[in-house]
Amino acid sequence: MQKISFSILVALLSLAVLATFFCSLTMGDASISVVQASKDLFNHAASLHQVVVWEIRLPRVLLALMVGATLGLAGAAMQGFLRNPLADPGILGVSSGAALGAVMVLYFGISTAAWYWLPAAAISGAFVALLLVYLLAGTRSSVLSLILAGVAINAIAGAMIAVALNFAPSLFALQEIVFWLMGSLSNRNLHHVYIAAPFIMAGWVLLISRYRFLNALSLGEETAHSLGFQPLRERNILLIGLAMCVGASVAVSGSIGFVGLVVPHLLRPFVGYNPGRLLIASALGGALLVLGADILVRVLDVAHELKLGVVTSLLGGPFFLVLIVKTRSRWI
Amino acid sequence: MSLLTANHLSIRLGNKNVVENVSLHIATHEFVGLIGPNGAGKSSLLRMLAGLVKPHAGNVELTPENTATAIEKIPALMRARFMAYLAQHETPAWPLNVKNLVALGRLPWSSFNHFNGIFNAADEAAIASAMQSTDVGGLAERPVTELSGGELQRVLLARVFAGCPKIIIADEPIAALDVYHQLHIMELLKAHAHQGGAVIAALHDLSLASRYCSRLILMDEGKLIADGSPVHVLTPENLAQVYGVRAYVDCRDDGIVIMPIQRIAHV
Repeated sequence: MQKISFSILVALLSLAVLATFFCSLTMGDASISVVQASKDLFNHAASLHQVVVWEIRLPRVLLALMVGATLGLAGAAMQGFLRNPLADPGILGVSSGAALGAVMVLYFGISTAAWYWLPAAAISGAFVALLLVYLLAGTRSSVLSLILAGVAINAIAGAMIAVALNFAPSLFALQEIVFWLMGSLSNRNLHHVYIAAPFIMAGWVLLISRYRFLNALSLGEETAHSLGFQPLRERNILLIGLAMCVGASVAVSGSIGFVGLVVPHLLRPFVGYNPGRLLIASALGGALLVLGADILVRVLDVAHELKLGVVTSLLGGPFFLVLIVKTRSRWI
Repeated sequence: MSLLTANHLSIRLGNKNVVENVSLHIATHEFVGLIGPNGAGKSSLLRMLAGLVKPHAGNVELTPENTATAIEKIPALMRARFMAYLAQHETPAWPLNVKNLVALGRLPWSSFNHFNGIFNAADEAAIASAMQSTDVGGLAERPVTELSGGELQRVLLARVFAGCPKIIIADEPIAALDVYHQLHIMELLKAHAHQGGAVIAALHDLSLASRYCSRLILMDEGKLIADGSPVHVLTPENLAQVYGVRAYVDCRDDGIVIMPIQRIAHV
Protein backbone atom coordinates (compact mmCIF):
# COMPACT_ATOMS: atom_id res chain seq x y z
CA MET A 1 0.00 0.00 0.00
CA GLN A 2 1.69 3.18 -1.17
CA LYS A 3 1.87 6.08 1.19
CA ILE A 4 1.14 9.19 -0.81
CA SER A 5 -0.35 12.36 0.56
CA PHE A 6 -3.87 12.97 -0.69
CA SER A 7 -3.12 16.54 -1.71
CA ILE A 8 -0.19 15.40 -3.84
CA LEU A 9 -2.32 12.70 -5.45
CA VAL A 10 -5.06 15.18 -6.32
CA ALA A 11 -2.51 17.64 -7.68
CA LEU A 12 -0.85 15.01 -9.85
CA LEU A 13 -4.16 13.70 -11.21
CA SER A 14 -5.42 17.23 -11.90
CA LEU A 15 -2.27 18.11 -13.79
CA ALA A 16 -2.54 14.91 -15.81
CA VAL A 17 -6.18 15.67 -16.63
CA LEU A 18 -5.37 19.23 -17.71
CA ALA A 19 -2.45 18.08 -19.82
CA THR A 20 -4.55 15.40 -21.52
CA PHE A 21 -7.35 17.91 -22.03
CA PHE A 22 -5.14 20.33 -23.93
CA CYS A 23 -3.41 17.52 -25.75
CA SER A 24 -6.79 16.33 -26.94
CA LEU A 25 -7.76 19.82 -28.09
CA THR A 26 -4.65 20.17 -30.22
CA MET A 27 -5.00 16.73 -31.81
CA GLY A 28 -6.88 15.89 -34.92
CA ASP A 29 -6.75 15.39 -38.69
CA ALA A 30 -6.68 19.05 -39.57
CA SER A 31 -3.59 20.92 -38.44
CA ILE A 32 -5.23 23.54 -36.32
CA SER A 33 -3.58 25.85 -33.87
CA VAL A 34 -5.39 26.24 -30.56
CA VAL A 35 -3.64 29.53 -29.96
CA GLN A 36 -4.91 30.87 -33.27
CA ALA A 37 -8.36 29.55 -32.47
CA SER A 38 -8.40 31.36 -29.10
CA LYS A 39 -7.32 34.60 -30.72
CA ASP A 40 -10.02 34.26 -33.33
CA LEU A 41 -12.60 33.56 -30.65
CA PHE A 42 -11.68 36.74 -28.81
CA ASN A 43 -11.81 38.75 -32.00
CA HIS A 44 -15.12 37.11 -33.01
CA ALA A 45 -13.53 36.11 -36.28
CA ALA A 46 -15.23 33.05 -37.74
CA SER A 47 -12.12 31.30 -38.97
CA LEU A 48 -11.55 27.60 -39.62
CA HIS A 49 -9.34 27.38 -36.55
CA GLN A 50 -12.05 28.78 -34.32
CA VAL A 51 -14.80 26.52 -35.65
CA VAL A 52 -12.76 23.35 -35.45
CA VAL A 53 -11.44 23.93 -31.97
CA TRP A 54 -14.41 25.51 -30.23
CA GLU A 55 -17.33 23.93 -32.03
CA ILE A 56 -16.02 20.54 -33.01
CA ARG A 57 -13.21 19.54 -30.70
CA LEU A 58 -14.06 21.36 -27.49
CA PRO A 59 -17.52 19.83 -27.00
CA ARG A 60 -16.08 16.37 -27.50
CA VAL A 61 -13.17 16.90 -25.12
CA LEU A 62 -15.36 18.61 -22.53
CA LEU A 63 -17.84 15.74 -22.69
CA ALA A 64 -15.02 13.22 -22.33
CA LEU A 65 -13.91 15.03 -19.21
CA MET A 66 -17.42 15.28 -17.76
CA VAL A 67 -18.48 11.74 -18.62
CA GLY A 68 -15.21 10.25 -17.40
CA ALA A 69 -15.34 12.17 -14.13
CA THR A 70 -18.97 11.17 -13.65
CA LEU A 71 -18.31 7.48 -14.22
CA GLY A 72 -15.32 7.45 -11.88
CA LEU A 73 -17.17 9.39 -9.20
CA ALA A 74 -20.37 7.35 -9.49
CA GLY A 75 -18.41 4.10 -9.35
CA ALA A 76 -16.61 5.19 -6.20
CA ALA A 77 -19.89 6.37 -4.68
CA MET A 78 -21.64 3.06 -5.38
CA GLN A 79 -18.72 1.00 -4.10
CA GLY A 80 -18.62 3.09 -0.93
CA PHE A 81 -22.39 2.99 -0.45
CA LEU A 82 -22.78 -0.74 -1.07
CA ARG A 83 -19.49 -1.49 0.70
CA ASN A 84 -18.55 -3.69 -2.24
CA PRO A 85 -15.61 -3.19 -4.59
CA LEU A 86 -17.51 -4.91 -7.42
CA ALA A 87 -20.24 -2.30 -7.67
CA ASP A 88 -20.36 -0.11 -10.76
CA PRO A 89 -22.48 2.98 -11.54
CA GLY A 90 -25.07 0.88 -13.35
CA ILE A 91 -25.69 -1.61 -10.56
CA LEU A 92 -28.98 -0.04 -9.57
CA GLY A 93 -30.33 0.10 -13.08
CA VAL A 94 -29.83 3.81 -13.70
CA SER A 95 -27.61 3.49 -16.77
CA SER A 96 -29.65 0.74 -18.39
CA GLY A 97 -32.79 2.82 -17.81
CA ALA A 98 -31.11 5.75 -19.53
CA ALA A 99 -29.97 3.50 -22.38
CA LEU A 100 -33.51 2.17 -22.79
CA GLY A 101 -34.87 5.72 -23.00
CA ALA A 102 -32.38 6.55 -25.73
CA VAL A 103 -33.01 3.28 -27.60
CA MET A 104 -36.77 3.96 -27.61
CA VAL A 105 -36.21 7.35 -29.17
CA LEU A 106 -33.89 5.87 -31.78
CA TYR A 107 -36.29 3.02 -32.50
CA PHE A 108 -39.32 5.20 -33.07
CA GLY A 109 -37.35 7.68 -35.10
CA ILE A 110 -38.13 10.57 -32.76
CA SER A 111 -34.46 11.51 -32.60
CA THR A 112 -34.68 12.95 -36.10
CA ALA A 113 -37.35 15.43 -35.04
CA ALA A 114 -35.05 17.47 -32.79
CA TRP A 115 -31.61 16.95 -31.27
CA TYR A 116 -32.83 17.13 -27.68
CA TRP A 117 -35.25 14.19 -27.71
CA LEU A 118 -32.57 11.55 -27.24
CA PRO A 119 -30.77 13.15 -24.29
CA ALA A 120 -34.09 14.09 -22.68
CA ALA A 121 -35.41 10.53 -23.02
CA ALA A 122 -32.20 9.10 -21.61
CA ILE A 123 -32.22 11.34 -18.55
CA SER A 124 -35.90 10.57 -18.02
CA GLY A 125 -35.15 6.87 -18.40
CA ALA A 126 -32.57 7.09 -15.63
CA PHE A 127 -35.08 8.63 -13.24
CA VAL A 128 -37.82 6.17 -14.19
CA ALA A 129 -35.41 3.32 -13.44
CA LEU A 130 -34.60 4.85 -10.04
CA LEU A 131 -38.29 5.26 -9.29
CA LEU A 132 -38.92 1.63 -10.20
CA VAL A 133 -36.06 0.51 -7.95
CA TYR A 134 -37.63 2.41 -5.05
CA LEU A 135 -41.04 0.95 -5.84
CA LEU A 136 -39.65 -2.57 -5.99
CA ALA A 137 -37.42 -2.34 -2.95
CA GLY A 138 -39.47 0.04 -0.83
CA THR A 139 -38.26 3.36 0.54
CA ARG A 140 -36.98 2.00 3.85
CA SER A 141 -35.40 -1.14 2.52
CA SER A 142 -32.06 -2.76 3.16
CA VAL A 143 -29.11 -2.40 0.83
CA LEU A 144 -29.59 -5.96 -0.37
CA SER A 145 -33.16 -5.21 -1.49
CA LEU A 146 -31.87 -2.24 -3.46
CA ILE A 147 -29.28 -4.38 -5.22
CA LEU A 148 -31.85 -7.07 -6.05
CA ALA A 149 -34.25 -4.44 -7.38
CA GLY A 150 -31.38 -3.05 -9.48
CA VAL A 151 -30.71 -6.52 -10.88
CA ALA A 152 -34.38 -6.79 -11.83
CA ILE A 153 -34.46 -3.37 -13.51
CA ASN A 154 -31.22 -4.12 -15.38
CA ALA A 155 -32.73 -7.38 -16.61
CA ILE A 156 -36.00 -5.77 -17.72
CA ALA A 157 -34.29 -2.84 -19.45
CA GLY A 158 -31.86 -5.21 -21.14
CA ALA A 159 -34.75 -7.36 -22.33
CA MET A 160 -36.59 -4.38 -23.78
CA ILE A 161 -33.46 -3.15 -25.54
CA ALA A 162 -33.11 -6.63 -27.02
CA VAL A 163 -36.72 -6.42 -28.23
CA ALA A 164 -35.96 -3.11 -29.92
CA LEU A 165 -32.96 -4.67 -31.65
CA ASN A 166 -34.97 -7.73 -32.63
CA PHE A 167 -37.74 -5.72 -34.24
CA ALA A 168 -35.57 -2.98 -35.74
CA PRO A 169 -37.23 -1.89 -39.01
CA SER A 170 -34.04 -1.96 -41.07
CA LEU A 171 -30.38 -2.89 -40.92
CA PHE A 172 -29.50 0.79 -40.72
CA ALA A 173 -31.80 1.28 -37.75
CA LEU A 174 -30.26 -1.77 -36.07
CA GLN A 175 -26.77 -0.44 -36.67
CA GLU A 176 -27.73 2.98 -35.34
CA ILE A 177 -28.97 1.51 -32.08
CA VAL A 178 -26.08 -0.90 -31.66
CA PHE A 179 -23.47 1.77 -32.37
CA TRP A 180 -25.16 4.15 -29.95
CA LEU A 181 -25.08 1.45 -27.28
CA MET A 182 -21.37 0.92 -27.78
CA GLY A 183 -20.66 4.41 -26.52
CA SER A 184 -19.18 7.28 -28.51
CA LEU A 185 -18.36 10.96 -28.28
CA SER A 186 -18.06 11.74 -31.96
CA ASN A 187 -20.35 14.27 -33.64
CA ARG A 188 -21.24 15.89 -30.34
CA ASN A 189 -21.74 19.63 -30.27
CA LEU A 190 -22.07 22.28 -27.61
CA HIS A 191 -25.79 21.58 -27.30
CA HIS A 192 -24.96 18.23 -25.79
CA VAL A 193 -22.68 19.97 -23.32
CA TYR A 194 -25.40 22.47 -22.41
CA ILE A 195 -28.04 19.84 -21.80
CA ALA A 196 -25.81 17.47 -19.85
CA ALA A 197 -23.79 19.94 -17.79
CA PRO A 198 -26.50 21.06 -15.32
CA PHE A 199 -27.50 17.48 -14.46
CA ILE A 200 -23.91 16.35 -14.25
CA MET A 201 -22.81 19.25 -12.04
CA ALA A 202 -25.83 18.82 -9.76
CA GLY A 203 -25.16 15.10 -9.53
CA TRP A 204 -21.51 15.74 -8.67
CA VAL A 205 -22.47 18.09 -5.85
CA LEU A 206 -24.95 15.59 -4.40
CA LEU A 207 -22.45 12.72 -4.58
CA ILE A 208 -19.30 14.48 -3.38
CA SER A 209 -21.11 16.02 -0.43
CA ARG A 210 -21.73 12.47 0.90
CA TYR A 211 -18.05 11.90 1.59
CA ARG A 212 -18.37 11.89 5.37
CA PHE A 213 -21.29 9.45 5.30
CA LEU A 214 -19.38 7.08 3.02
CA ASN A 215 -16.46 7.19 5.45
CA ALA A 216 -18.76 6.38 8.35
CA LEU A 217 -20.31 3.51 6.35
CA SER A 218 -16.96 1.68 6.56
CA LEU A 219 -18.20 0.54 9.96
CA GLY A 220 -21.68 -0.45 8.86
CA GLU A 221 -25.04 1.31 8.61
CA GLU A 222 -25.88 1.11 12.33
CA THR A 223 -22.60 2.67 13.37
CA ALA A 224 -22.93 5.32 10.68
CA HIS A 225 -26.37 6.14 12.10
CA SER A 226 -24.92 6.37 15.58
CA LEU A 227 -22.21 8.73 14.31
CA GLY A 228 -24.87 11.31 13.45
CA PHE A 229 -25.99 10.43 9.92
CA GLN A 230 -29.51 9.62 8.77
CA PRO A 231 -28.98 6.59 6.53
CA LEU A 232 -32.22 6.94 4.56
CA ARG A 233 -31.74 10.63 3.81
CA GLU A 234 -28.11 10.09 2.81
CA ARG A 235 -29.11 7.15 0.62
CA ASN A 236 -31.79 9.16 -1.18
CA ILE A 237 -29.37 11.99 -1.89
CA LEU A 238 -26.80 9.51 -3.19
CA LEU A 239 -29.27 7.78 -5.50
CA ILE A 240 -30.78 10.99 -6.87
CA GLY A 241 -27.29 12.36 -7.50
CA LEU A 242 -26.40 9.07 -9.21
CA ALA A 243 -29.45 9.18 -11.47
CA MET A 244 -28.70 12.79 -12.43
CA CYS A 245 -25.06 12.53 -13.40
CA VAL A 246 -25.05 8.97 -14.75
CA GLY A 247 -28.31 9.52 -16.63
CA ALA A 248 -26.95 12.67 -18.26
CA SER A 249 -23.65 10.94 -19.10
CA VAL A 250 -25.34 8.00 -20.79
CA ALA A 251 -27.60 10.51 -22.57
CA VAL A 252 -24.66 12.11 -24.33
CA SER A 253 -22.20 9.27 -24.67
CA GLY A 254 -24.05 5.98 -24.73
CA SER A 255 -22.99 3.06 -22.55
CA ILE A 256 -19.37 3.31 -21.51
CA GLY A 257 -18.36 0.48 -19.25
CA PHE A 258 -15.53 -0.45 -16.90
CA VAL A 259 -14.50 3.09 -16.03
CA GLY A 260 -16.73 3.14 -12.96
CA LEU A 261 -15.48 -0.26 -11.89
CA VAL A 262 -11.75 -0.08 -12.58
CA VAL A 263 -10.84 3.48 -11.61
CA PRO A 264 -12.00 3.35 -7.96
CA HIS A 265 -10.52 -0.11 -7.60
CA LEU A 266 -7.16 1.10 -8.90
CA LEU A 267 -7.02 4.26 -6.81
CA ARG A 268 -8.34 2.86 -3.55
CA PRO A 269 -4.94 1.87 -2.08
CA PHE A 270 -3.57 5.32 -2.92
CA VAL A 271 -6.18 7.09 -0.80
CA GLY A 272 -5.67 4.82 2.18
CA TYR A 273 -8.93 2.95 1.41
CA ASN A 274 -10.82 6.04 2.53
CA PRO A 275 -14.16 6.01 0.65
CA GLY A 276 -14.65 9.76 0.94
CA ARG A 277 -11.30 10.70 -0.54
CA LEU A 278 -11.79 8.09 -3.23
CA LEU A 279 -14.67 10.15 -4.66
CA ILE A 280 -12.49 13.05 -5.83
CA ALA A 281 -9.60 10.78 -6.81
CA SER A 282 -11.89 8.57 -8.90
CA ALA A 283 -13.50 11.57 -10.58
CA LEU A 284 -10.08 12.75 -11.72
CA GLY A 285 -8.95 9.23 -12.61
CA GLY A 286 -12.11 8.58 -14.60
CA ALA A 287 -11.73 11.85 -16.50
CA LEU A 288 -8.13 10.92 -17.30
CA LEU A 289 -9.11 7.45 -18.50
CA VAL A 290 -11.93 8.59 -20.77
CA LEU A 291 -9.92 11.53 -22.14
CA GLY A 292 -7.11 9.09 -22.90
CA ALA A 293 -9.45 6.54 -24.45
CA ASP A 294 -11.00 9.26 -26.61
CA ILE A 295 -7.54 10.30 -27.83
CA LEU A 296 -6.90 6.65 -28.67
CA VAL A 297 -10.15 6.50 -30.61
CA ARG A 298 -9.11 9.48 -32.73
CA VAL A 299 -5.51 8.41 -33.19
CA LEU A 300 -6.13 4.78 -34.17
CA ASP A 301 -7.03 5.15 -37.81
CA VAL A 302 -9.26 2.15 -38.43
CA ALA A 303 -11.74 1.39 -41.20
CA HIS A 304 -14.82 1.53 -39.00
CA GLU A 305 -14.71 4.23 -36.38
CA LEU A 306 -13.56 2.67 -33.13
CA LYS A 307 -16.19 3.20 -30.46
CA LEU A 308 -15.22 4.71 -27.11
CA GLY A 309 -17.08 2.03 -25.17
CA VAL A 310 -15.15 -0.65 -27.04
CA VAL A 311 -11.83 0.97 -26.15
CA THR A 312 -12.70 1.23 -22.46
CA SER A 313 -13.77 -2.42 -22.43
CA LEU A 314 -10.57 -3.49 -24.18
CA LEU A 315 -8.55 -1.51 -21.67
CA GLY A 316 -10.68 -2.31 -18.70
CA GLY A 317 -11.25 -6.04 -18.97
CA PRO A 318 -7.68 -7.32 -18.89
CA PHE A 319 -6.65 -4.56 -16.50
CA PHE A 320 -9.30 -5.63 -14.04
CA LEU A 321 -8.13 -9.22 -14.35
CA VAL A 322 -4.58 -8.27 -13.47
CA LEU A 323 -5.80 -6.14 -10.57
CA ILE A 324 -7.83 -8.96 -9.08
CA VAL A 325 -4.99 -11.46 -9.37
CA LYS A 326 -2.51 -9.07 -7.76
CA THR A 327 -4.71 -8.08 -4.86
CA ARG A 328 -6.32 -11.44 -4.19
CA SER A 329 -4.62 -11.76 -0.83
CA ARG A 330 -5.94 -8.45 0.41
CA TRP A 331 -9.58 -9.48 0.40
CA ILE A 332 -10.54 -11.98 3.03
CA MET B 1 -26.57 12.99 37.39
CA SER B 2 -29.01 11.22 35.14
CA LEU B 3 -27.81 10.85 31.56
CA LEU B 4 -30.44 8.68 29.94
CA THR B 5 -34.01 7.88 30.87
CA ALA B 6 -36.16 5.33 29.07
CA ASN B 7 -39.91 5.37 29.71
CA HIS B 8 -42.12 2.37 28.93
CA LEU B 9 -40.30 1.34 25.78
CA SER B 10 -41.99 -1.20 23.56
CA ILE B 11 -41.26 -2.48 20.11
CA ARG B 12 -42.83 -5.18 17.98
CA LEU B 13 -41.30 -7.29 15.21
CA GLY B 14 -44.05 -8.86 13.17
CA ASN B 15 -46.62 -9.70 15.83
CA LYS B 16 -44.18 -10.49 18.57
CA ASN B 17 -43.48 -8.05 21.40
CA VAL B 18 -39.70 -7.98 21.29
CA VAL B 19 -39.48 -5.39 24.05
CA GLU B 20 -42.42 -4.71 26.33
CA ASN B 21 -42.80 -1.77 28.67
CA VAL B 22 -39.16 -1.38 29.73
CA SER B 23 -38.20 1.64 31.79
CA LEU B 24 -34.74 2.39 33.07
CA HIS B 25 -32.36 5.22 33.77
CA ILE B 26 -28.61 5.56 33.56
CA ALA B 27 -26.60 8.05 35.57
CA THR B 28 -22.95 9.08 35.53
CA HIS B 29 -20.37 6.66 36.91
CA GLU B 30 -22.64 3.69 36.19
CA PHE B 31 -21.55 0.59 34.33
CA VAL B 32 -24.83 -1.18 33.68
CA GLY B 33 -24.81 -4.78 32.51
CA LEU B 34 -27.81 -5.82 30.40
CA ILE B 35 -28.23 -9.54 30.78
CA GLY B 36 -30.76 -12.11 29.74
CA PRO B 37 -31.10 -15.23 27.62
CA ASN B 38 -30.93 -15.21 23.82
CA GLY B 39 -33.96 -13.52 22.31
CA ALA B 40 -34.70 -11.55 25.48
CA GLY B 41 -34.73 -8.32 23.50
CA LYS B 42 -31.39 -6.89 24.67
CA SER B 43 -30.17 -5.82 21.23
CA SER B 44 -33.52 -4.25 20.35
CA LEU B 45 -33.54 -2.36 23.63
CA LEU B 46 -30.02 -1.08 23.06
CA ARG B 47 -30.94 0.05 19.54
CA MET B 48 -33.86 2.03 20.94
CA LEU B 49 -31.67 3.58 23.63
CA ALA B 50 -29.15 4.58 20.95
CA GLY B 51 -31.88 6.19 18.87
CA LEU B 52 -31.27 3.88 15.92
CA VAL B 53 -34.78 2.51 15.95
CA LYS B 54 -38.07 4.16 16.89
CA PRO B 55 -40.03 2.42 19.63
CA HIS B 56 -43.70 1.71 19.03
CA ALA B 57 -44.49 3.02 22.48
CA GLY B 58 -42.57 5.00 25.04
CA ASN B 59 -39.67 7.35 24.61
CA VAL B 60 -36.02 7.88 25.43
CA GLU B 61 -34.70 11.06 26.98
CA LEU B 62 -31.10 12.16 27.05
CA THR B 63 -29.50 14.99 28.99
CA PRO B 64 -26.65 16.24 26.82
CA GLU B 65 -26.95 19.74 28.22
CA ASN B 66 -28.36 19.30 31.73
CA THR B 67 -31.99 19.20 30.58
CA ALA B 68 -33.78 16.00 29.66
CA THR B 69 -34.78 16.09 25.98
CA ALA B 70 -36.51 13.47 23.89
CA ILE B 71 -33.97 11.73 21.68
CA GLU B 72 -35.79 12.56 18.44
CA LYS B 73 -35.54 16.25 19.22
CA ILE B 74 -31.81 16.25 19.78
CA PRO B 75 -29.80 17.17 16.64
CA ALA B 76 -28.08 14.10 15.22
CA LEU B 77 -24.58 15.48 15.69
CA MET B 78 -25.20 16.45 19.29
CA ARG B 79 -26.57 13.00 20.00
CA ALA B 80 -23.54 11.45 18.28
CA ARG B 81 -21.15 13.49 20.44
CA PHE B 82 -23.01 12.53 23.60
CA MET B 83 -23.59 8.86 22.97
CA ALA B 84 -21.57 6.21 21.12
CA TYR B 85 -22.83 2.82 19.94
CA LEU B 86 -20.68 -0.26 19.56
CA ALA B 87 -22.54 -2.68 17.29
CA GLN B 88 -22.47 -6.41 17.73
CA HIS B 89 -20.96 -7.63 14.47
CA GLU B 90 -18.82 -4.84 13.13
CA THR B 91 -16.44 -5.99 10.42
CA PRO B 92 -14.88 -3.01 8.66
CA ALA B 93 -15.66 -2.97 4.96
CA TRP B 94 -12.23 -1.78 3.80
CA PRO B 95 -8.67 -2.50 4.93
CA LEU B 96 -8.25 0.93 6.48
CA ASN B 97 -5.29 1.26 8.77
CA VAL B 98 -5.99 1.30 12.48
CA LYS B 99 -5.43 5.01 12.96
CA ASN B 100 -7.86 5.93 10.16
CA LEU B 101 -10.51 3.63 11.60
CA VAL B 102 -10.12 5.09 15.08
CA ALA B 103 -10.28 8.55 13.47
CA LEU B 104 -13.80 7.72 12.20
CA GLY B 105 -14.89 8.19 15.79
CA ARG B 106 -14.15 11.90 15.39
CA LEU B 107 -16.73 12.31 12.60
CA PRO B 108 -19.34 13.90 14.89
CA TRP B 109 -16.78 16.53 15.92
CA SER B 110 -14.94 17.44 12.73
CA SER B 111 -16.31 18.78 9.52
CA PHE B 112 -13.84 19.25 6.71
CA ASN B 113 -10.81 17.83 8.41
CA HIS B 114 -11.40 14.28 7.37
CA PHE B 115 -11.19 15.06 3.71
CA ASN B 116 -7.47 15.33 3.20
CA GLY B 117 -6.48 13.30 6.21
CA ILE B 118 -5.18 16.19 8.22
CA PHE B 119 -6.74 16.33 11.66
CA ASN B 120 -6.80 19.30 13.94
CA ALA B 121 -5.15 19.29 17.36
CA ALA B 122 -8.28 18.24 19.24
CA ASP B 123 -8.86 15.30 16.89
CA GLU B 124 -5.25 14.17 17.12
CA ALA B 125 -5.28 14.34 20.91
CA ALA B 126 -8.52 12.36 21.18
CA ILE B 127 -7.31 9.72 18.73
CA ALA B 128 -3.95 9.36 20.48
CA SER B 129 -5.55 9.12 23.90
CA ALA B 130 -8.09 6.54 22.71
CA MET B 131 -5.41 4.41 21.07
CA GLN B 132 -3.23 4.61 24.16
CA SER B 133 -5.92 3.57 26.62
CA THR B 134 -6.92 0.59 24.48
CA ASP B 135 -3.27 -0.30 23.91
CA VAL B 136 -3.41 -0.28 20.10
CA GLY B 137 -0.79 2.40 19.54
CA GLY B 138 1.65 -0.14 18.15
CA LEU B 139 -0.88 -1.21 15.51
CA ALA B 140 -1.46 2.29 14.11
CA GLU B 141 -0.35 1.57 10.54
CA ARG B 142 -1.67 -1.98 10.27
CA PRO B 143 -4.68 -2.68 8.04
CA VAL B 144 -7.62 -3.66 10.23
CA THR B 145 -8.29 -6.75 8.16
CA GLU B 146 -5.02 -8.22 9.38
CA LEU B 147 -5.83 -7.95 13.06
CA SER B 148 -6.82 -10.74 15.39
CA GLY B 149 -10.26 -10.76 17.04
CA GLY B 150 -9.01 -9.23 20.26
CA GLU B 151 -7.00 -6.54 18.51
CA LEU B 152 -9.91 -5.61 16.26
CA GLN B 153 -12.33 -5.34 19.20
CA ARG B 154 -9.89 -3.04 21.02
CA VAL B 155 -9.57 -0.92 17.86
CA LEU B 156 -13.35 -0.68 17.54
CA LEU B 157 -13.54 0.34 21.19
CA ALA B 158 -10.81 2.91 20.54
CA ARG B 159 -13.05 4.33 17.81
CA VAL B 160 -15.79 4.70 20.41
CA PHE B 161 -13.44 6.36 22.90
CA ALA B 162 -12.05 8.72 20.26
CA GLY B 163 -15.48 10.31 20.00
CA CYS B 164 -15.28 11.28 23.69
CA PRO B 165 -18.87 10.23 24.38
CA LYS B 166 -20.57 10.43 27.73
CA ILE B 167 -22.64 7.28 27.28
CA ILE B 168 -21.33 4.14 25.62
CA ILE B 169 -23.90 1.59 24.44
CA ALA B 170 -22.20 -1.71 23.65
CA ASP B 171 -23.88 -4.81 22.23
CA GLU B 172 -21.93 -7.90 23.33
CA PRO B 173 -18.49 -6.27 23.25
CA ILE B 174 -16.62 -9.31 24.57
CA ALA B 175 -18.51 -12.15 22.93
CA ALA B 176 -15.78 -13.71 20.78
CA LEU B 177 -12.70 -12.84 22.80
CA ASP B 178 -10.30 -14.90 24.88
CA VAL B 179 -10.30 -14.41 28.66
CA TYR B 180 -7.37 -12.00 28.71
CA HIS B 181 -9.02 -9.65 26.24
CA GLN B 182 -12.41 -10.05 27.86
CA LEU B 183 -10.96 -8.76 31.13
CA HIS B 184 -9.12 -5.95 29.30
CA ILE B 185 -12.27 -4.68 27.57
CA MET B 186 -14.31 -4.88 30.79
CA GLU B 187 -11.59 -2.91 32.61
CA LEU B 188 -11.66 -0.22 29.90
CA LEU B 189 -15.43 0.10 30.07
CA LYS B 190 -15.38 0.26 33.84
CA ALA B 191 -12.68 2.95 33.71
CA HIS B 192 -14.86 4.99 31.35
CA ALA B 193 -17.69 4.88 33.86
CA HIS B 194 -15.32 5.64 36.72
CA GLN B 195 -14.11 8.79 34.94
CA GLY B 196 -17.58 10.28 34.80
CA GLY B 197 -19.16 8.62 31.79
CA ALA B 198 -21.68 5.79 31.70
CA VAL B 199 -21.78 2.44 29.99
CA ILE B 200 -24.60 0.04 29.26
CA ALA B 201 -23.45 -3.24 27.75
CA ALA B 202 -25.31 -6.39 26.77
CA LEU B 203 -23.36 -9.30 28.19
CA HIS B 204 -23.63 -13.05 28.26
CA ASP B 205 -21.00 -13.84 30.83
CA LEU B 206 -22.78 -13.56 34.19
CA SER B 207 -19.60 -13.75 36.22
CA LEU B 208 -17.84 -10.94 34.39
CA ALA B 209 -21.01 -8.88 34.35
CA SER B 210 -21.47 -9.11 38.10
CA ARG B 211 -17.79 -8.45 38.85
CA TYR B 212 -17.43 -5.32 36.73
CA CYS B 213 -20.90 -3.81 36.54
CA SER B 214 -22.24 -1.64 39.31
CA ARG B 215 -25.76 -2.54 38.28
CA LEU B 216 -27.43 -5.31 36.33
CA ILE B 217 -30.66 -5.23 34.35
CA LEU B 218 -32.17 -8.64 33.70
CA MET B 219 -34.50 -9.11 30.76
CA ASP B 220 -36.55 -12.07 29.68
CA GLU B 221 -38.91 -12.30 26.70
CA GLY B 222 -38.97 -8.55 26.26
CA LYS B 223 -39.83 -7.71 29.83
CA LEU B 224 -37.64 -6.21 32.53
CA ILE B 225 -37.36 -8.74 35.33
CA ALA B 226 -34.93 -7.11 37.74
CA ASP B 227 -32.84 -3.96 38.00
CA GLY B 228 -30.32 -3.50 40.77
CA SER B 229 -27.04 -4.63 42.19
CA PRO B 230 -25.73 -7.99 40.95
CA VAL B 231 -26.50 -9.77 44.22
CA HIS B 232 -30.10 -8.61 44.15
CA VAL B 233 -30.63 -9.48 40.50
CA LEU B 234 -28.91 -12.86 40.26
CA THR B 235 -30.94 -14.59 42.93
CA PRO B 236 -31.46 -18.34 42.68
CA GLU B 237 -35.11 -17.69 41.83
CA ASN B 238 -34.27 -15.39 38.93
CA LEU B 239 -31.57 -17.72 37.67
CA ALA B 240 -33.96 -20.64 37.74
CA GLN B 241 -36.88 -18.80 36.19
CA VAL B 242 -35.09 -16.78 33.54
CA TYR B 243 -32.10 -18.91 32.59
CA GLY B 244 -33.37 -22.27 33.77
CA VAL B 245 -30.13 -23.03 35.58
CA ARG B 246 -28.87 -23.55 39.05
CA ALA B 247 -25.65 -21.69 39.80
CA TYR B 248 -22.98 -21.52 42.43
CA VAL B 249 -22.86 -17.93 43.72
CA ASP B 250 -20.15 -16.72 46.04
CA CYS B 251 -19.72 -13.16 47.26
CA ARG B 252 -16.07 -12.68 47.93
CA ASP B 253 -14.15 -9.57 48.92
CA ASP B 254 -12.84 -9.01 45.42
CA GLY B 255 -16.18 -9.54 43.75
CA ILE B 256 -18.85 -12.06 43.00
CA VAL B 257 -18.24 -15.44 41.42
CA ILE B 258 -21.11 -17.06 39.55
CA MET B 259 -20.79 -20.45 37.99
CA PRO B 260 -23.76 -22.20 36.34
CA ILE B 261 -23.84 -25.77 37.48
CA GLN B 262 -26.91 -27.52 36.27
CA ARG B 263 -29.88 -27.04 34.02
CA ILE B 264 -33.27 -27.17 35.67
CA ALA B 265 -35.97 -29.14 33.91
CA HIS B 266 -38.80 -26.78 32.92
CA VAL B 267 -42.24 -27.67 34.20
